[in-house]
Amino acid sequence: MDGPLILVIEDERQMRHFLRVSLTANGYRLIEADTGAEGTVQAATRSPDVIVLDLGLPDVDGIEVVRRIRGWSRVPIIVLSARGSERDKVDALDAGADDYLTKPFGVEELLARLRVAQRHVAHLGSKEDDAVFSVGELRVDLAKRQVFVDDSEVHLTPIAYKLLVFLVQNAGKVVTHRQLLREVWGPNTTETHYLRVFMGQLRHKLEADPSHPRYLITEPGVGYRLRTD
Amino acid sequence: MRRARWISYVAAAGIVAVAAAFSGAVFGRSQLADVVMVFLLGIVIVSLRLGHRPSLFAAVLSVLVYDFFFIPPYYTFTVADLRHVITFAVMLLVAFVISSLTRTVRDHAEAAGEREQRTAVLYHLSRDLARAQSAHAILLAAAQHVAQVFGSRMVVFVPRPGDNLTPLYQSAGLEATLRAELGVAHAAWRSRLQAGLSTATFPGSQGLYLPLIASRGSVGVMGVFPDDRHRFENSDQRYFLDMFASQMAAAMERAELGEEAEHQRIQADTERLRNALLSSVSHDLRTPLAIITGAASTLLNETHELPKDENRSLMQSIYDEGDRLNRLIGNLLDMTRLESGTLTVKKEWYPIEEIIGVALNRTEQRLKGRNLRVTAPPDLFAPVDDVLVEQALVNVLENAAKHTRMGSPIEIRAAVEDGWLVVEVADRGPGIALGDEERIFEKFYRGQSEGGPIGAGLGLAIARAIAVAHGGRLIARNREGGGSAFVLTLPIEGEPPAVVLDADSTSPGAKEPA
Repeated sequence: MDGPLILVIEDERQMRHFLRVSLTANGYRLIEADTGAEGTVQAATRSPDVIVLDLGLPDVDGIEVVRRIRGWSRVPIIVLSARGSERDKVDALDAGADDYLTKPFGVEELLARLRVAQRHVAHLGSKEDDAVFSVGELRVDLAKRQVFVDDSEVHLTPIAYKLLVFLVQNAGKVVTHRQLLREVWGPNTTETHYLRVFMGQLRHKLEADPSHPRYLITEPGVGYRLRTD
Repeated sequence: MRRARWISYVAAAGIVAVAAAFSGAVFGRSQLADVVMVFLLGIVIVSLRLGHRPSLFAAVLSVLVYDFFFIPPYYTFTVADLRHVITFAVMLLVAFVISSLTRTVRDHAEAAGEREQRTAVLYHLSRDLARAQSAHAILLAAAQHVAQVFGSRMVVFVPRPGDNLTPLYQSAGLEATLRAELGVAHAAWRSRLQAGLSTATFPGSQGLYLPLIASRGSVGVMGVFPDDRHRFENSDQRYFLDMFASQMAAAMERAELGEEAEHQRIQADTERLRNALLSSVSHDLRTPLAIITGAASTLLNETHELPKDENRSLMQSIYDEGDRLNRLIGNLLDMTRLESGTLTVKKEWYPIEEIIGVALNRTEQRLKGRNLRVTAPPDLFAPVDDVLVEQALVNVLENAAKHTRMGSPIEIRAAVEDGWLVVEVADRGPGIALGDEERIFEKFYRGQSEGGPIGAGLGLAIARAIAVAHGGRLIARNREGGGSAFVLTLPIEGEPPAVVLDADSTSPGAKEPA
């Protein structure tokens, strides 16, 4: 047994049980912590491959746990939170969490998020590997700076292309408005309106039906996600 | 009474003098009977014009003048003939009778005048009180009348729990006096009698305190502070003030009853809603829970083996019902947030196309097989709270899903009409039952569903509440050719921030949102 090691920081016993059963059945190894303090210690001593962190912990704010772990580690963190707390999700993501899942969620969603997280860890090692990203009809050649839909090349403005590249680099993961703005327009931009205008532009170039997008998904109140499946 | 006393007596003496001169000149000393008549006429005039006492004075003076000038021996008060003494007595008697009678008539006239004046004052008061809609307006009207009619300032105390009187209204500048005289007000409240100034209880007070007694009991205490301390020494004035007080008490009671009725109505409404909520929630939460529990217990039962596909269908039910529970709880939370007023609408300029996209994304599962057609201009931006408007659209779309079959078309159209954002969701389902166009937006109202699971009847109510919170509206109507259309209308105010687009010479055909 040497599947990826997942650290689950969650105070609900039944939730941990569900995660243990479903994740071990899918070839993962699991360590569990029921408080933020214990979770932080486990993260440091057991060096897990991915951390699944509940934001509603009894002892310490989940966002604080993210900050502490990010103090020394780049390990992917997926946070779990309830619907309606978009603010918490954004805070956790901006504090360095990689992705989020809204409770309740199915095991398929969790497995998809774990796969994305692991893939990004793998990418950190060898950056040139996937010079071409493709999903469905969409193909982005990062080396040649070319974008194709349905095998015909699409021309993008420099900003739209920058936006797309950042989404491709984070494919499958949610990126917050702040992260996108910082990456594309620089650290001092806060005008999310820009983002919406250019995202609309991008959709009209890349999506068959821009009002029912397949690739460029809006995560309400949080940010955007480039779908990978 | 009205004039200084001595003037009345001088005037009475003058009239007697005129009567003497006139009768002396016209009748002389031979026609004594006529002379007496003239004197009596003088007395009548005095008693009519100058009052009771001057008329008595005039009577006595007339007898003396008559004796002195007209009865021999002249220019003395001596009387030779005893018969004249009888004339004097008759003169006096007649004068007294006339004087008394005129006094009575005068008093009646005066009383009638005063009554008329008071009636007018009370009429004005009751008219103003009847016009007043609230307790506060009643007190303002009363204070104005007290100032005009009684030349006084006013305070009104009402009882508060713990047998404490609290000023509900007070004229300016009374604070210190009221602190000192609260005990006097309490005395009037407890005894239900007037207390304070001009009464036997605490006569040294600044104010006169009257209990305000209405049909159902005391409603408070009124205190009046006359500019003239002696004003209410007259019991008539105090009596009048009493009438004034009971008018006020009746008006205050009326206002109180009105408020009570309003309060009870609100309470009854809240109660009704709470009951509806509880019964609806307990039913809606228990149904999926019952299915989950039942399916899970069947799966757990080891005494008999189920066929594989049956096993699977039970698991599917557990999953589906869990999803249903989740949506239900989400709706309940939304409704609670909308109703408690804790929800704030954070408007930002959003492309409406993106919002429709998110709503369609979230309803993908339930809209499966429906023939979707979306018309939304890519450059249509509107100031909305994205999360809320998405939710409203999701609820309307879920409603459409509930009432349509597979393969049925659903059209979503967004446009700007007369400066408003209009988003229409139209289906070809069974449409809305006649007269239900408004009721479907009521909480817990459930229409007839096309087979599928019934919701809590909250979705459309939430969608409308969101529209209203944006300053817009959501209406439903039946379409020509069948089906229903839900029209969401939201205000577009102001201008979206300007965006600097970068060069894009390579794709001239593409439309740039601006």
